[in-house]
Amino acid sequence: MIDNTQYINAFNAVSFLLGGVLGWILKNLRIKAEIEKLKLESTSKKMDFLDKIQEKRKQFNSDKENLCLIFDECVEAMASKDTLKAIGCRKTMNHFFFHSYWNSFFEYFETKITVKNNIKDKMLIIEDEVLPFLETCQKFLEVTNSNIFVMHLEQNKLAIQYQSIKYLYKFCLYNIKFFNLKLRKKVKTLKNEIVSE
Amino acid sequence: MSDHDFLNSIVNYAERSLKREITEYEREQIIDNFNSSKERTAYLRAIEALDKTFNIKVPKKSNKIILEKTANFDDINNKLEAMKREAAKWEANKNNGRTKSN
Repeated sequence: MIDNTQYINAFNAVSFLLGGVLGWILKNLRIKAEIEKLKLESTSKKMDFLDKIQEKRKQFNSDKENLCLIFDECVEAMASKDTLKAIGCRKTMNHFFFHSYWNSFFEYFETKITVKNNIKDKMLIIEDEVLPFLETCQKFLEVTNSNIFVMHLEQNKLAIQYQSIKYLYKFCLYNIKFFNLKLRKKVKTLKNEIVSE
Repeated sequence: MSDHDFLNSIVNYAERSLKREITEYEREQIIDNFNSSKERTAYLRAIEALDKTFNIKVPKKSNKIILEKTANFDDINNKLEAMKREAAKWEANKNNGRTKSN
């Protein structure tokens, strides 16, 4: 015979089990909702960062275009052998290069490496952004310190300190694999040419 | 990339490879060769045009990257090259002037 106490115990056991299962389901649903929320937050943060990258890239490209216009003016001044205009252009070009173009590149680069920070992305950043920038710096110094400006027009020679490109240089060396000798050599050569100019 | 930018990027690439500015006639030749090419894509037609006009061999594997990149970074580098050429010309002119006055 089953007495009332056994019924109550069975009922309690079933309730306990049901409660456990329900609790587990609720907990899982809550976790799922939390995960969805986190995913959304992370996507929205990523979008914010992407917006920032795009904004910085736009600024950098716009500065690059403006620098190209200044270069055009300099070429014109040099072709017409207009000493005063050429000196003025060189001043504008140097000022713009170091105060706008340089800064906007670093802002763009720093924003980009904050988001794109896996090794594949870093290598792409090195190949597509850093190396072309260093090449431009090297060419720029060659032009602004050419004999015509320094010797004939008696303008001061410009120099870039190692400290200014140290971060870019180290970033390249830390991220380029040790067996990629060609690329490592390219970075070192560019660094030496820029710093010793 | 617009047609104009694309043509500029081909011209930039040619100038970079030849290390000199290309003439208007050469520019027209590139366009002619590009238009007469039977290749499937614009990039392949551009490569053929460069090969036919200047005998420049563009590595096919990197064609897209090269041609796209030239539109961005090589523009600034080409301008710097142009400045370098003008600086050299001006300097040669100054040096000639000095030699004559001596």
